[in-house]
Amino acid sequence: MLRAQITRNVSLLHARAFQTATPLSKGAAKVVATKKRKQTFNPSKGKSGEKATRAAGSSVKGFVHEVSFTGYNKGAENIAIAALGAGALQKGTVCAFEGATRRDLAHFGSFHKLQYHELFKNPISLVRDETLQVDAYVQKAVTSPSSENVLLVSGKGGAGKTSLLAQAHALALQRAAIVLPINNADSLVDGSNDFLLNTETGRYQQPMFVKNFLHKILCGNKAALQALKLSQEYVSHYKGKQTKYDAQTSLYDYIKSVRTSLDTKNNAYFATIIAELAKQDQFPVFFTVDKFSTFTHNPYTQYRNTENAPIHFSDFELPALLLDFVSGAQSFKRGGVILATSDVHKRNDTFRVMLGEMQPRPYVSVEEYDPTVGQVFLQKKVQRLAVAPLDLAEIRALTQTFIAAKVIPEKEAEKLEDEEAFASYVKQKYVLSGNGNFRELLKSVVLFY
Amino acid sequence: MSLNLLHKRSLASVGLLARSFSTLSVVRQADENTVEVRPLIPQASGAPATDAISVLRRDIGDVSAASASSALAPYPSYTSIFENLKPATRTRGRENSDVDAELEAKRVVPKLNTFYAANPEHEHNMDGLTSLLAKHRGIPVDTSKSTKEERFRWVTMEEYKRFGGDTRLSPKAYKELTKVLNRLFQMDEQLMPDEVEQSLERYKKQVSTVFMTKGTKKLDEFGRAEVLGKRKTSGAKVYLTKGDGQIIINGKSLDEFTPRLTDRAKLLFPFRVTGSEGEYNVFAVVTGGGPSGQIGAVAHGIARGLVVHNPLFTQRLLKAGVLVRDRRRAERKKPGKLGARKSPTWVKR
Repeated sequence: MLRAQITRNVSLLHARAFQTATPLSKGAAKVVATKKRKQTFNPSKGKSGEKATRAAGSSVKGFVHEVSFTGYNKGAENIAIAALGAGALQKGTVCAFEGATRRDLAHFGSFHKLQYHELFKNPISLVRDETLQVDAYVQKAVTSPSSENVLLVSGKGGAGKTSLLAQAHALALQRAAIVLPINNADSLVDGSNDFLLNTETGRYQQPMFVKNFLHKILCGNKAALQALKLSQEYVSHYKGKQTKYDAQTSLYDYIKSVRTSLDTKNNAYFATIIAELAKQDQFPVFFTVDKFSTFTHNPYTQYRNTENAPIHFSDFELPALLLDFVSGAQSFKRGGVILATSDVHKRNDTFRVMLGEMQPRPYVSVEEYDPTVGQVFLQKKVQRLAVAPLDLAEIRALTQTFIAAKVIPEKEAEKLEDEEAFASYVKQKYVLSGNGNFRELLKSVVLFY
Repeated sequence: MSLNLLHKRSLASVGLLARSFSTLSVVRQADENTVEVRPLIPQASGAPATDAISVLRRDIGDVSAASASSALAPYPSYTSIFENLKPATRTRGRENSDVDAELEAKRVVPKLNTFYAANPEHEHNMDGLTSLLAKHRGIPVDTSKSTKEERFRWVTMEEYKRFGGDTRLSPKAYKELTKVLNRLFQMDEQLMPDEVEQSLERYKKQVSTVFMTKGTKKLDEFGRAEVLGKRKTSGAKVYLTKGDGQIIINGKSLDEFTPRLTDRAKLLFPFRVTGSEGEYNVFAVVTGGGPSGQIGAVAHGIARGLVVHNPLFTQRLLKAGVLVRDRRRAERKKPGKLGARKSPTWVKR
């Protein structure tokens, strides 16, 4: 009884003490706040949040990223190569991406890692038959609707499909076109981006991916987007803040503004941007998709809905948009759609129907044949371009460029001054590259010493 | 003194020795199992004639009267040399009158002058052949002659054992024989003496033409060389034809078949040795083994195919080591070891 009474008296005493306590001043509160350490997982900083000091030459990124994107090309040999120019292409010559074209393509992500671009001052490119065909395609597409200009690029792994897409970007930019590049369609379906269900449209949106995508479009098409004005007024709502965009607002400013608002529920910003691009006919617009065969590889994505069932790719906003442009359901007034396949994806029935190699078989599973994609390519007239392996003359031209750029060591290059030795060397590289595979040729030159 | 007075044991010893001696001449066949023989001993003047003795047929072998003295034709026998000699020549330092005919009767002389060699019969053959070689060493030699072209082969070691010493014959001795035979064979055809030709006949065996033509490969009707290549447990059937350097293995191009540059370089090596990169197309079907074994099998096949296209490449490819089938295999695991060589961790105690 006594103990309980004492305990109660003590607790009352404490309560009274808190009741009479005065609150801390603002300055004192601030001091307390700065002393609180914030945990961070940023590898460029230490655990306490301060910037960590690193040893010279080290990096938080991996080797492949470092060697590709940290300016090793600045130390490369200066060689005289013509720039890739629309309308002035000569087959069998090696050209370079220079100046503004190179800058814009870098923004687009057209230069991938492990393409050994760091060996040259400016990324090089060989003009081939396929380049001339793409140039002719772009020339035609800038004056006709995109629904009539769907190009599908296929070929073996390492044949040069991605390089051809980079050339297409350059040729389109030089014709004052707007390029919407998707460099890796795998990231749309592999679950690496966030996704939100838009209950109004019934489709899933991927804010992270679209945000990065719009950033590339802004950086690479700045001049063209700044010249375009909105066709109507728009209002955006983000975190309780309302923003109005009138008809004098440039598309560039609109995109820049709404880019950070894409995680708003049930937003239509991306659809609006595409609609604006589709309405205008001032600039041709090219949609380019690398690794498009991801949609034939597996129709179901790695994402799952609330019932834990995998989601079909056509239930996502961006892939569905791509399919609409391929089928012609949506179209730019001028422009085209360029798709490229990838050798990492399986050659199932959907893939082969897409390439026009076979008719669909009935009674096969949806993993084998997906009619969502198959029917589009069966009904749509698509221009197909198969990238062929290099021939001896092309390997010869590339080898001469490698020697000039000192990619081939000088000791080896001295032995090739004789014409016979050079011809024998070219034939050896032809065999070592698997009879003309571009990627294997580069590897046999770069990695074989 | 009559030999009939010889002790039975002596008779038996004479009989045993008689099997390998041609110093006996058959007088008559006494019965099925016994023959009467007389030693062919040179007769001293005035010495009594030696009587015939009976020996068992099994002791002298199944020889007939006609063939008893001709067991080792055609070379001159030891006895024929001494047939007309007086006993004094054989019994050095003794007076003719001191020669004991009985002792002479007992004396056994080996029929081969190489009796004391390790392999008397082989040494005897070699003596004959080398004496012919020495005798006719001045005759010009034609090194282009080949036994394959003449459609015969020398006796194999097993066949030679029948008259070359049987179990005493060693591979080295057989090798010596073939060396001498080849040397004798290389004598110019038109200048070769009959005795050499006859002596070689004994060692020749005819070979069927089917066997002879199987060894040399030719291009088929499409100009392809169809060859087999092997490495470890892999086997490759390779078709090599004139072309522009295309390579297809198991239906795939080279970069699809193997991602390793070193493997592709191994395939290229036979072409580099012969300086024929990009001049031949290769189509190969390879089974068994792993990646490097399959590549080695195709490379071996390419080397053999190049030889079919141009036999002059043989020396270059042999020197480069690509034409010989690589006999290296995975070494077996041994007891007490973790693998072929690796031992378990050594523990002090």
